[in-house]
Amino acid sequence: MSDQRPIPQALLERYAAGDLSGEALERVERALASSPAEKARLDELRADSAAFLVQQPPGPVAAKLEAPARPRWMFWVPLVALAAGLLVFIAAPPVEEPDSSVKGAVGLTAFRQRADGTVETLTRGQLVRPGDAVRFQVTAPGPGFVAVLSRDGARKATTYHPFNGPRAVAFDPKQPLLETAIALDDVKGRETVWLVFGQQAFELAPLMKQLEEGREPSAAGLSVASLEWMKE
Amino acid sequence: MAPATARFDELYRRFAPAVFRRAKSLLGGDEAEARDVTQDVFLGYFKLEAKLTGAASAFTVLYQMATYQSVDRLRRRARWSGRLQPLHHDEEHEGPALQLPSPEDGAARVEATHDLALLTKGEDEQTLTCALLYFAEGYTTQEIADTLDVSRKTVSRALAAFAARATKRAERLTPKEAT
Repeated sequence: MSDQRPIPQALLERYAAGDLSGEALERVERALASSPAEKARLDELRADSAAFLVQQPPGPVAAKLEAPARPRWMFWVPLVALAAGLLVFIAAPPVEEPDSSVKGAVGLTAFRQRADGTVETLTRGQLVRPGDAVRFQVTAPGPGFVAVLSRDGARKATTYHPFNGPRAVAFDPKQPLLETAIALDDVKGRETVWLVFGQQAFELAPLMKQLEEGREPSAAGLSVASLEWMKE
Repeated sequence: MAPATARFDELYRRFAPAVFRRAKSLLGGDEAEARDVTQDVFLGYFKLEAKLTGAASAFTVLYQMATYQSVDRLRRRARWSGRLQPLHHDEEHEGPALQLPSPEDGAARVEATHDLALLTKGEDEQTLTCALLYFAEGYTTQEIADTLDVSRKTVSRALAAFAARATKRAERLTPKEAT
């Protein structure tokens, strides 16, 4: 490719996927280094990839791989159960030892998929509806352990991630989108959701008790972020 | 997570966005159909992965499968327009032999892709992908070689053989002038 010629789309895709090597890699990197426009194309491609994976996560497709003979609709049966407040647990993130120090803040982002398949990022206080599917993305300063807890409009506390689990589970910052997906039940009103992050594994029972008592989850060594939505 | 699922997860996260975009671009922006193609490609890849020799990277195989399946869908939905782009491949020529309208002229490129969809029936995944990249998308033989992990000579040979077959096929497909 010459300096004037744009990087072919397929090569840019391959580069973005970290799959190029040798002279082809050098050619693409030269073109990226010399052209802000090409660099912008790459940035746009990466952003588009991230958005795609939020909308089309691997879990549902992987489920078909594991059970190829199962009819397509069977996968969605658990989501029917979710209307009653249950939760689909697709896969646990890989276990990794936590770092020795924590720097930076934690954050929790929720993505809602509507019945028509469109996906949006939930903002604080946003209206949601029963049946909406929600997934969570975690921002944390490094590897550690996380839990996502909720208190709904009926003041009932639930552990969303790991669903009904007794303790926090390992978190890998390279995989910020949690594999757990929930479908919102029909309890109306304000629901608050907390992300709790710690460097060491921690038990959830004391935190759940705090929620049931109307307090926020809090303990030494833990960082907390929250969001809330209104269900109508 | 089971090992197979973990590997699926890793490959999907790494390559599915590119597979989806490839399908979407060939299918005229139809996202629903592109999602179907993406899913079919990944399920198909894992069914045949044990048979793969490892000569080509996962990206290359997935990209060719996405191209093949998208073109197959185009072919099924196509209605013969009666207009074919002339096909000629010059092995010594560095750039594309067939200069299509500018990349901004999306309609013309879709037209060329539809032509190629008809002309590539029966071709294998690699040949079809080479032909599409070269004749419809304006890649040079070197760029195709870089994309598909093959030598430029291999690309040239595949294109020359394809052009010869396609020319004969085009003669059969081109409608006669009404008399």
